Amino acid sequence: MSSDELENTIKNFVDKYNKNIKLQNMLKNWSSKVLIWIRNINKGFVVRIEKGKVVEITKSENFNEGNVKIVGDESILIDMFKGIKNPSSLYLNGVIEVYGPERDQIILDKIVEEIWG
Amino acid sequence: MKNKMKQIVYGSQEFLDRLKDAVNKDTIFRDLAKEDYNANELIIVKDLGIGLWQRTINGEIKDFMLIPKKKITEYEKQAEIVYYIDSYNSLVDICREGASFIQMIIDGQIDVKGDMKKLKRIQAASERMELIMKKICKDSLILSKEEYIRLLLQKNYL
Repeated sequence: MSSDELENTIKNFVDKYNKNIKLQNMLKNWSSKVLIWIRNINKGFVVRIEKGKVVEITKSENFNEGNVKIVGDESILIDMFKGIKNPSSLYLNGVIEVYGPERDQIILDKIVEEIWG
Repeated sequence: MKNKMKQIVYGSQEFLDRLKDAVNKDTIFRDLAKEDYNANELIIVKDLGIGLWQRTINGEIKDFMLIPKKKITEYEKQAEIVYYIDSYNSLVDICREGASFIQMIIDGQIDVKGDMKKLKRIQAASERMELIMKKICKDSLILSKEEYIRLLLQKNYL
């Protein structure tokens, strides 16, 4: 899998997220499985959240995993998780796709807003 | 002690009219909403069966009105975004300092259905509107659920 950089970028992002006290308080009732899917290689990562905390990141080759899915090309996803590219703009411009319950999508927006401003 | 008779009742049509005027006059809201805020939104208060309809065009609220129970289905079909609030008590909670619409979505008191791209476009302006609403709430009379139901019955919303 040629996505070591993405994996490290996700881990750095998750580290920031798990250490963010405001987000932890806000999301203490949220549990979910987020699939980050790399469109150009059809593989991805599953991020499992329990009571607001990310407890596991695993590699995945199954697009059906996760109750919310973020789909994009690898370089775009790396830039997004590094805070270089704005996820809302990417989504509104059709560069990434997001599927799943509205609540989860709103929560993901809030996380990004809180971490990257 | 404030005179209850002169206060606007939170959740009444008068309250919505005041909020609409205040939001439309707010330059920060208008700047955030300009071009991006074009939406038909409906808040449904599930335990009462009534709704609050908001039609916004180019960042200006054109309609903001209470929808009677018997017309909810008709407006639900027209809405691009629907917010289902579980109860009148949760609607009152939005007025509280420290409470937020987004937190209530996270905690499951509010369920959202509809056009997510539209929702993202209007999010910043919606948060500004929430702030304005909280200010108006401070000067408003918040009825108990029983009192609010009586008011809705008097005005034929139920």
